[in-house]
Amino acid sequence: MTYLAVIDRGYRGTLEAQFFDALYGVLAFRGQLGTIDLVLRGTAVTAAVTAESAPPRLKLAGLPEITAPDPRASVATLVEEGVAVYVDRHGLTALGLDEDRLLPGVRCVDSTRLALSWDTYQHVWFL
Amino acid sequence: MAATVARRHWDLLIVLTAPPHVNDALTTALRLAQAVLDQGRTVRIWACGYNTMLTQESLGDRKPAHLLDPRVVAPSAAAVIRGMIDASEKRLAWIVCTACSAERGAGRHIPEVRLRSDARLAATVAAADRTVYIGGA
Repeated sequence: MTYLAVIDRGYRGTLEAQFFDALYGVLAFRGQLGTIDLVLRGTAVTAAVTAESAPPRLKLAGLPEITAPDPRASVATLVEEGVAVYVDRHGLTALGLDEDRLLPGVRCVDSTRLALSWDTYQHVWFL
Repeated sequence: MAATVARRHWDLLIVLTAPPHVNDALTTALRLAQAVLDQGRTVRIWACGYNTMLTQESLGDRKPAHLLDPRVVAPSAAAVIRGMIDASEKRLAWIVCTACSAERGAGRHIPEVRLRSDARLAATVAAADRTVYIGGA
């Protein structure tokens, strides 16, 4: 059974929901569901762009440094595990990002055109 | 002549209604508050909507930080807010909206925060030099 997972938004609650972001969901669910292809759109495209610095850490007085989610690491793991990861070209352009900054193995597509292939999937999920 | 009650004045009030799990408004609000505290100033946060869930005692001190690696732990939201309040030497205060808390069934809150009726919003705004309202409830 094949699924297409679409993630339209990144940065969903670093502090509150750090234990389970949508990318963890793809990693966790694929073992149960079978083949999942992934499309990143909107601000979620940044998860597939090479970082210019180490992942940010949240420093608040009275607390140990809080580790923020590392979505790039999740995308890299998905690629390593054979998941097809696509990034929407319009999303990249809108944020002023170049295709040559994408993580290895991530493919840039026009996700509007990709919609023409939806009928090849048994499920299309918006996470 | 009636006696008057001197009310404390604050440098900044942040009213946060954006839910904590949809975007990073909560993280931004806490970083903003920390920056204000780092300048030696005072700040109050009014937590509305689903932010009233953050300070429940039932959350405990720690939570899982990574679904796929249960060895990694993080402070709970309640512990984060308690830690910031404790470290601020009374320069940070956290207000929980009573109506939003009751509507969501939020249980007992940590003792470091205060519950306040939304009917007191205008008075709370008046008690601050500036108010930043982060909407999105």
